[in-house]
Amino acid sequence: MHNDIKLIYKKLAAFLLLIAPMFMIGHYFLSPIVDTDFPYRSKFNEVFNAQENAEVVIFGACSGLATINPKILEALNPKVYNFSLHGAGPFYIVQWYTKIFKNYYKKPKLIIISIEMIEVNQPRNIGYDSEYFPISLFLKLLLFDREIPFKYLLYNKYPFIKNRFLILRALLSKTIIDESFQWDRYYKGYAPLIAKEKLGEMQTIVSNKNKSMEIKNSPEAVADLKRMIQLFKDENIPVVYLTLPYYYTHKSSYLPHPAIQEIRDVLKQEVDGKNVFYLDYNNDHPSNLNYDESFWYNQTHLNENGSNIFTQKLKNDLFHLIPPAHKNIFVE
Amino acid sequence: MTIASIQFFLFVLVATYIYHSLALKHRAKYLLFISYLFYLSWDIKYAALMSLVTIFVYFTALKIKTAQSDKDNGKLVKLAVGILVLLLAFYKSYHFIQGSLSQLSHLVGLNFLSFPSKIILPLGLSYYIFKSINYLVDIYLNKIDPETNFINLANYISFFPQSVCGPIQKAQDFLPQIKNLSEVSPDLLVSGFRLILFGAFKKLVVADRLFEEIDTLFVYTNSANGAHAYWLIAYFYTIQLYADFSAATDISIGVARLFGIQSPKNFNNPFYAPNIQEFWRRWHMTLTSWLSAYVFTPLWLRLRYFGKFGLCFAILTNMLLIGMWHGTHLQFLYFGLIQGALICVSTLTLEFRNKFFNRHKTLNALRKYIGPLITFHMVVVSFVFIQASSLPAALLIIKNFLICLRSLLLDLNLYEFIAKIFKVGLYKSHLARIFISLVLMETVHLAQSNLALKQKYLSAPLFLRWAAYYFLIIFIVFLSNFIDRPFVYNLF
Repeated sequence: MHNDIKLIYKKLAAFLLLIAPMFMIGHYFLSPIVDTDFPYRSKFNEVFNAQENAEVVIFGACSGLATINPKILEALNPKVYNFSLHGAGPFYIVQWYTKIFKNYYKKPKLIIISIEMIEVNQPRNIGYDSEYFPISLFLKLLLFDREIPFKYLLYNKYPFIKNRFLILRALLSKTIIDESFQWDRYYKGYAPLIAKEKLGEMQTIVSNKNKSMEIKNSPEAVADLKRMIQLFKDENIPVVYLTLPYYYTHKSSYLPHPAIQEIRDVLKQEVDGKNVFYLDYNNDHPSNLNYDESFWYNQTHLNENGSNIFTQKLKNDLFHLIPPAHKNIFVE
Repeated sequence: MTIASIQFFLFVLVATYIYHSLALKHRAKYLLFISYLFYLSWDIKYAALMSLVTIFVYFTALKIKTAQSDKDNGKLVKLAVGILVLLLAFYKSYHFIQGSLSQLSHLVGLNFLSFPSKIILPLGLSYYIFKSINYLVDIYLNKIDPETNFINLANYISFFPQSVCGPIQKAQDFLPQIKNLSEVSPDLLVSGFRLILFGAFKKLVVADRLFEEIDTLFVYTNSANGAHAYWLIAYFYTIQLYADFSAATDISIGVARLFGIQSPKNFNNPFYAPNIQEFWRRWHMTLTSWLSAYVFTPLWLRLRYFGKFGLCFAILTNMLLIGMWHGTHLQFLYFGLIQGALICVSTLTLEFRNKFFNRHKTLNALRKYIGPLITFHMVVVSFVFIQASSLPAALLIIKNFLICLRSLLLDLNLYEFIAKIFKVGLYKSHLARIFISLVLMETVHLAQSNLALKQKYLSAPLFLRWAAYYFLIIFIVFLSNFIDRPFVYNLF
């Protein structure tokens, strides 16, 4: 190699190496101010350094996080923990269980999984949570796991990179935490949503973009759901699948959309009364929660009052649903 | 791997380092090897098709040289160009062909025949087909001799930095460089890295973030302020397309420089063009000059006896081809037609306008500011046809765009207008980010085209130049989403 070119490469190496101290300074000063995900950190801490050692665990997306209150379910079993995370669909739950939960936490006696019927294709990947992983797990996934994209693991490892869009906001002393949740009421993975006087505009799932967007389950999403059901069957763990209630504004809401019906069909086919159970709180078990606006944060998420009433109902249903063979899950 | 990804950057870094460590005699072969390695990372079928085209072009070129007469040569070139154009047309219009064949087989009762509903356009096909045609035609016109070294020709057709989004380099420009590979000058190497960094900034910070804003804006097009959403979409799309395509070109030219290859310029501040003809001289320059050399000029020469009618016909044909180069959907045809019509009107009225402005000195002083503004808006409206999925969708965007523009110019209620803009999913912080990144992008563009400014920058102390690069890197790290979004012009 020509000497001039060698010099350029040396300069390039020096240039790139100088990024490392800048990165460390950024991480030291900026990461603490944009570390917003305290509920997630506490959930991952519970997995990696178990304090509760829960026997009844709850998996699911944000509606599960804001709806199922472990404090109420503790009447059935004192060891309940809600591991729900935003955007966690079947794909994520399979990843989460097989790559993390199973290896670090004791085997639960009962799993409750809330299925987001209109967002079954949830995009969350466990690579997004790499900042909470112990270094050994991080390196194991980074070097040996081909399922999790390399860049997800890297870009999400440091809060100041992961939450980079919030830095300016945080520096301007503006709040960066999600204020729709009441974090002061956080309990074992559950955080209630604030009560709203009026429901906001319904979350539209169909945009009018010139490319028509149809609500449709991708074949991959349905396959992921089946994979998840099979996983827990193989693990021989009883699972209760839930469709959490929605707020009905029209009678037509009774009629499940074909995409929702497709998911219901999959779940209903799998129900065996022994290890697989299914409770649909919209079509099979609707209640006054579905009609009373005062229980809702928005059309698909209950507020604190609503979530407590719902969990009470769930507690009763669970007690009657689970067959005698599994009654050891519950405290008599 | 997209050419704005970390994987691509690492690939280039390693490939370049090895390249500079090799003896000069092995470099051409190595360059071909990494071009195919890059292609194979997309799909083996792409690489196979490109190698077939290369073999075809290589032997055809040799045949042209040994043909007995000019007549034979002409036939051979026409046949070869015809085959290459057919290949390109087949992939570009497959959806149309498939639809027609399916209908036909249904009509004649051959229902059992099935045609795949979709085939993927091989990466960079149009770019290397255009390069191949240029090579064959230039041999026919005796501008160059056929390349006897297969490696050199294969490098010309498959050179990986140019195979994704161009630029379309002429054979007479590329082949002498590949034949005389020497040590890359340090300045060229550094300028290559600089361009790659700037290209990454344009792609990740400007183009990709604008894409996300457009996506959000579409959700609000049915709201009470939907017209304002469309208005923003039209502007944002034009700028996104420019940032995206010029980013791809910058990265491509930058990577080529790392291997000592100088590529032609593809953009020259097109949004400052005073009229639409000038815009097309500054936008996708290698495609327009290619079409100008092989379509417009020969056609105009043949039609010169028809005067202005002949000129307009040549312009329209040329612009229609530019439209169809993007694809065979009807809206690309409309795009070409509109551009052609605008150029015709602009060309035919240019003399009159020049006389008019010469008579009105005040207006003439304003012309250099208003001209680019009007040209830019003509471009914004016509680019809607590239973006929209159908003609009605395009017309809907244009209608709303014009309604908003009218209300902005005539109602003069700027406060209310701005208030409405922030009701269509656009946050003030996002607008600030877009504004800052656009100012940064245009500052660099202007510095690139101003020799004195460029020289001043290059002679600045090292720490200042490095500070500028770190500044860009910080922008990329903190303002981009790192989604490997493909370049828009990959699709063409």
